[in-house]
Amino acid sequence: MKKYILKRLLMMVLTLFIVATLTFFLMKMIPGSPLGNTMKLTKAQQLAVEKQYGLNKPVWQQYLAYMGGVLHGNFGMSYQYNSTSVASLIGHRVGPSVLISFQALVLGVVVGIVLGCVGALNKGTWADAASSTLAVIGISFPSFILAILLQYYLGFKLGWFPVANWNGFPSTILPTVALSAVPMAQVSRFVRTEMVEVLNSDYILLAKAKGLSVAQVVFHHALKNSIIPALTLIGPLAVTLITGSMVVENIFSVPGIGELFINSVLSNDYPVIMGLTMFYCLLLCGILLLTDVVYGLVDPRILSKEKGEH
Amino acid sequence: MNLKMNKKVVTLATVALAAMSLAACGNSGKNKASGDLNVTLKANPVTLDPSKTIETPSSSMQVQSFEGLLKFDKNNKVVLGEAASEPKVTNDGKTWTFTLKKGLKWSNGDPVTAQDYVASMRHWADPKTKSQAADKVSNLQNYDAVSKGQAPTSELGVKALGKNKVEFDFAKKQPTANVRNNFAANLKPVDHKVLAKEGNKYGSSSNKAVYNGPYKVVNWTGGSDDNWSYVKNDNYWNKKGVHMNKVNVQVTKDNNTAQNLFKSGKVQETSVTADYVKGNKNNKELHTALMATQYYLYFNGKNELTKNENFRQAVNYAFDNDQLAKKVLQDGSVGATGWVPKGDMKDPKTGKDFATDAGHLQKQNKQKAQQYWKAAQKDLGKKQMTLNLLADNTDDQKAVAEYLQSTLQKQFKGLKVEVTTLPHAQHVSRDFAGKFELNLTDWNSSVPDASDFLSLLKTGNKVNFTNNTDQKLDDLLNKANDGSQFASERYDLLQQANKQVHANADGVPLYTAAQAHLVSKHVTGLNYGPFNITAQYQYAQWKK
Repeated sequence: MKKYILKRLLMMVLTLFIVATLTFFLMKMIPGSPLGNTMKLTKAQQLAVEKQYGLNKPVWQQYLAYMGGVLHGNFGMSYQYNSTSVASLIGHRVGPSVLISFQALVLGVVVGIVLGCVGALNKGTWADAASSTLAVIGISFPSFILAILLQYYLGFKLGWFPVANWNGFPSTILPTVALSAVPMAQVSRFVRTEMVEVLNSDYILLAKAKGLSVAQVVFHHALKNSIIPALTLIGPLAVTLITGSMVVENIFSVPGIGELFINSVLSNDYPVIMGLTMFYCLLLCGILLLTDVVYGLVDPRILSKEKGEH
Repeated sequence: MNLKMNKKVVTLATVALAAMSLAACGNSGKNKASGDLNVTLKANPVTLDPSKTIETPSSSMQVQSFEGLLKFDKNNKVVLGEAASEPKVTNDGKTWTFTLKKGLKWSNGDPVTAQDYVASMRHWADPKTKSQAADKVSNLQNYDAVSKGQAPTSELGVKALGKNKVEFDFAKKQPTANVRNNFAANLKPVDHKVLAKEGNKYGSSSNKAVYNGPYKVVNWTGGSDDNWSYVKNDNYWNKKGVHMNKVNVQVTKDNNTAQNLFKSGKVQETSVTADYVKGNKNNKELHTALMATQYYLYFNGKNELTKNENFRQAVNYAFDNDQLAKKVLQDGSVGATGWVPKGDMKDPKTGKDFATDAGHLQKQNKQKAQQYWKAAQKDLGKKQMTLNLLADNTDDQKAVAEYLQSTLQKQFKGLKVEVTTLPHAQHVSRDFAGKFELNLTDWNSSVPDASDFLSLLKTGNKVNFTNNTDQKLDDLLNKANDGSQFASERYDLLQQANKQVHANADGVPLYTAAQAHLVSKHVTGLNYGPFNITAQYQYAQWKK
């Protein structure tokens, strides 16, 4: 297991290096200047500012200088936010994004498991149909539409929750609910399908024959095996939530990182583009590794297979 | 089992409802008419350092918290700020000396001195500052050498004559309008002690700056912060004129959210987009105001068709600008009547608006358009022609581009117009590279002076994307800006330059853009105008 994790960590470093290199050169191919006031600066003034940022050097030299900085933990200073380091910009904004994504994931997974169980245990009844309908709505309904509806009815009309603004736990509820629809729907579908299969297996029949109550059968035997496939979903879902929550963040004025990324691309803020790309890449690799490890721990068959291979 | 499961579902629902009730907070602010003023801002400000400021959100924050020698009052007029009187002009118009009011103080208690203005100018020109707003101070003596690092900042043409007098030495003789409106009304001082302490971090958060304006900025942690406040500055020289004690700002990027916050009374001022204006024209809380932003259609002077004078004249007579503003945009923008937008400059003698004075120079005339189009076809020996129109990829610019495309194709048989829309930064790079045939672009001015718009077509101006040159226009503008003219003579020269621009037809003025805000009916004193793009909260009051 240790060897496996070490190998995966080395692969992570290699992936980060490749992603950073590709992003750096692709980014330099975007037309336009990173300076925001090229219209009003004279050519000489523009050249003077570019020189200060080292933008007058050949691209390969800029690349070496940047990578040298990264190795020393220096991700550079934002061009747009002239006196602010990329690390502090990301550091300030990552918290809210991670918080609402984490809450949405927990809420989505818990409700998804409940709905999946309800559907499987009541297969073919109205409860199954209702849980399926909810899942279809959750998957097909864009989260930003849900966000706008929640904001309008629960925030503006009824006044139960803050309309927007980032100010304590109440302000996180509506964005969390809006973002939880997709994980809820996906997890509920997975759990339902798996549980229907598990409930028909021999060991469940044996458990029932032993006289265990339905609750004991479900919670001690069926549920554990039914949620294993759903675990594989959680990693990618977490990353999708963190990176894809931009519109919902905007709607509820959550000071997150999504919008920072879009703005940095539109304004050619190279150090921020690089910093955020590497951050997203690290996050994805980290979560995928974590999911694989957890998956192995929950289902020891996978672990023994890995041991056999390595 | 089903019963047990149902019990769980009911429990869950109860917990959820309880959480919702706990989190509930009523619309207590709906009829707010006292206390703090709450407002929104569309984007995050970047800095509190004036020398690094090139975008509206930062300017908005600074207009509340800093004051220069001169300033724009709430009616868009340049008036005395920290200067005690109008400047003294010597050395044949090259040296301008301002005297400061007595007893001025920074928010930390330090006195505001001439040295603070000197420090600000030097910081601005210092290459280490990486200022992208250098256009504001580049007329000062030795600016070029200092900004390239070839001379120390002490060589810059600014010095303190004692504590209360600051002298600016310009490289060339300056017209009064340039020094008052472009230079003194835009520059802000820095507390030289705080700047020395903070260095390049000056202004990167609210506690890395001190303030000499109506408000202190509080709790702004930097460019990524979405909430902060303006708290009345007790050391401001005119603190009696400031009515609101505290203004809370929330960055709200989504338009629907901003409207919902306003409608629920959580904020009393917010900006709205054209879509909202279209559907809410009768809303008494909606205020639209023209900006000093004019949109033009440029012709590329290096393209065979667009450099043809008959073609340019034909297009100049093709559009109905009023229809474009009222039917297509519907956001309060007005159709341009000439190259210089309305509200930009006033006749120093009569006070009449420059654009109104110039008359309706930009008019649709379909008959003349046809005559010129036929002449252009003859000149070029072609009946069928295709042109590309370059525009920003925003909704309003796409709509304008489509209007231009359909009008041109309808009026000129044989002409096909293709539209290319790009993100703004990429559009600008095509402007500079000259990669366009027709170009829908704009110019935003921070100076109430027609020369800023007219110089767009001057030879050597790097934003003269038409690449056309005209000696007569250059001569008129050079003469108007050499500082030798009295204000009224200069005004006449600029009017002549305006006529020349229209005669050349190197571009077509289309419309003057507007901005729209929702302001609570309980609030008065918030004014918007071409040079007050963001309201100055020092003038805001609760209605009694």
